[in-house]
Amino acid sequence: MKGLLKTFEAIMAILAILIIFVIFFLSSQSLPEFETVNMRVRGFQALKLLDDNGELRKFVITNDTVTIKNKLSQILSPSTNFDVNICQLNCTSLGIQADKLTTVSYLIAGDYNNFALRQIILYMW
Amino acid sequence: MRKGQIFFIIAIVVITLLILLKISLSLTSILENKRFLESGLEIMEFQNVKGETIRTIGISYNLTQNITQNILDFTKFSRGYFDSRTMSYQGILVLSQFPTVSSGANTNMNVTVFNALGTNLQNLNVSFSYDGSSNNVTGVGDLSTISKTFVFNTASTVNYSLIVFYKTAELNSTENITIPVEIGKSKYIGFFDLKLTSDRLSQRDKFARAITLS
Repeated sequence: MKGLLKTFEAIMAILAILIIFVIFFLSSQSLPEFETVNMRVRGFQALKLLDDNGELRKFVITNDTVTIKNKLSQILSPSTNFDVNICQLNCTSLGIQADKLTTVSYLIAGDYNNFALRQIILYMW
Repeated sequence: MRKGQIFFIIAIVVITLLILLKISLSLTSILENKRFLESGLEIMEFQNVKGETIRTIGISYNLTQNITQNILDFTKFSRGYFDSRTMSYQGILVLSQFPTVSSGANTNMNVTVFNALGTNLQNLNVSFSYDGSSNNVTGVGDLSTISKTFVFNTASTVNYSLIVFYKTAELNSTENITIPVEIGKSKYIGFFDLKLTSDRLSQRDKFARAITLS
């Protein structure tokens, strides 16, 4: 009889823990997505760093996305896939299909002696 | 103490730890952190646009293009960009330019006021401290400009003031802009009051830049 009581008490204790766990941790609220916002911040900082080093706008003006991508690959994490689009306001999509695809834009007004409105869109996934 | 009671005590300890863990993983604070990161990105975007607005003067410096027109074009471009992201970019710009000043000779100063406040200016008044001359206009639409040429004549370095008063349905505002005049110098003076608003953040910056052109 004593052994049965101990078993019952142990089961009750386990049940209490399970109930609390279910109530607190299995609710329907999902945690917000941090990865994309972090990627956007890092992407913008990478573009700004290139610009501050004088390695962005001259390539933007000549639409040289290959050089910009080469330079970005030295800054962004190797695990980040990315592509670059240079346009003004009406930009065509690059048609990238990926989970967690995110973009960030950097605006420039041109380069010295060359007024040119451009938007650099950095796609990351 | 019986063994069964020990099970209950252990259960209470574990439950307490679970509750503490849940409190530390509060969804509200996680959302707050995410919001903080997103707001930080918006601050950087606003800095980007402000920096490019000022840079436009330097970019246009040696061009035959009109510095003022380029600044207006960049502001409209920025407005379009933020509109597409459901953010609101607004502001008022006062752009003044005068050629090389000769001692004792009349110099024309072109002043352009650009309304990008997203609403009509019911009244706009620009007055020049040199002689008190002014220009009063009513009904200035969004993304519209008003230009006026003021004349001054000086034999020495002096600071004049441009007083800009504007009234919208929501506010009245007066800006006092310093116009630094030097003999033998041509200058461009830009006054910018810019605002970027999103559902997370509202940022505003008011600044002026005086640049010697020659």
